[in-house]
Amino acid sequence: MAAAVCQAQGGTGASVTWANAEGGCKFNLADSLTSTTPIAIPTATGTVFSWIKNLVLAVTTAGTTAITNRRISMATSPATGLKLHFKQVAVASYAQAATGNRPASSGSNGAVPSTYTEMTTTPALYDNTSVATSSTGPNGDMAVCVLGVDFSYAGGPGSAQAVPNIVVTYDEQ
Amino acid sequence: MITIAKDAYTWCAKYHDGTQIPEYDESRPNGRGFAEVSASQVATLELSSAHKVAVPHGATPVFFRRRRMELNPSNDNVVSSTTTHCIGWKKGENACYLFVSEDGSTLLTNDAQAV
Repeated sequence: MAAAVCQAQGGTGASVTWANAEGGCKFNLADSLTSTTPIAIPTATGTVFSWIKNLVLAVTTAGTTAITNRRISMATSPATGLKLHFKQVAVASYAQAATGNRPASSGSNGAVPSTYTEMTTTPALYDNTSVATSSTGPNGDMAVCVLGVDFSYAGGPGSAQAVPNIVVTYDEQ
Repeated sequence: MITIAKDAYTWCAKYHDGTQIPEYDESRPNGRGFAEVSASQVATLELSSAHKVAVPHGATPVFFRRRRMELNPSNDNVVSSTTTHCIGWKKGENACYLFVSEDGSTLLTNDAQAV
């Protein structure tokens, strides 16, 4: 059973281009994994969100296995005022990150955007479909992620605020 | 082109009649898929002869490798990447999973998501 080699990748562009997200995946206001376009911290009670990040588990070296049970979580709890959220989206429904699909700001702290699930330190299933690793490229659906920043966030402005490590797990058989 | 990425442990299924079906052998240097095992004939599952689970009659044998990668959104690397092997069985509401970590530590549980 030749195991596949997999990688977390992020999709950008109008017609999606997948790139290694293991080289960093900054939550920003840009269709980019590396841009540091900042998210403004609310000046009153409320939550603002980053632009979406289209993350996917991708096969970079094909195998003879299949992957299922794709889950996502955070390695540690985030700082007060920061929350990550995710939702399952089929690769075929990829949408380029843009201001138009940025979740609407909320008037409440700690808001979870509609259709998203708050990410925790417990792995949460986002795609349980069994997909063969015989082809390279995305394997299974995307976990589309956003970062929420609310008024209670005490960190100062800057381009390198600490976001918890993201943990992706999957079963290969 | 398939690159063989061997793991710390490989599985071997042993049938009731004594037949052994290893993940890798001379006839299958690229390895077998676990789906090739005849589930109804499996008496025991082993990981590199170091860990073994007996499969009850009528139960479905289970094998998977749980891969975990931890990404740092801010920096330029995978913080860690680990694999936990699992052998076990499930039968109706009952199940038994033996998780074996890369360091050899084990967890026996009926929860497939325990690791």
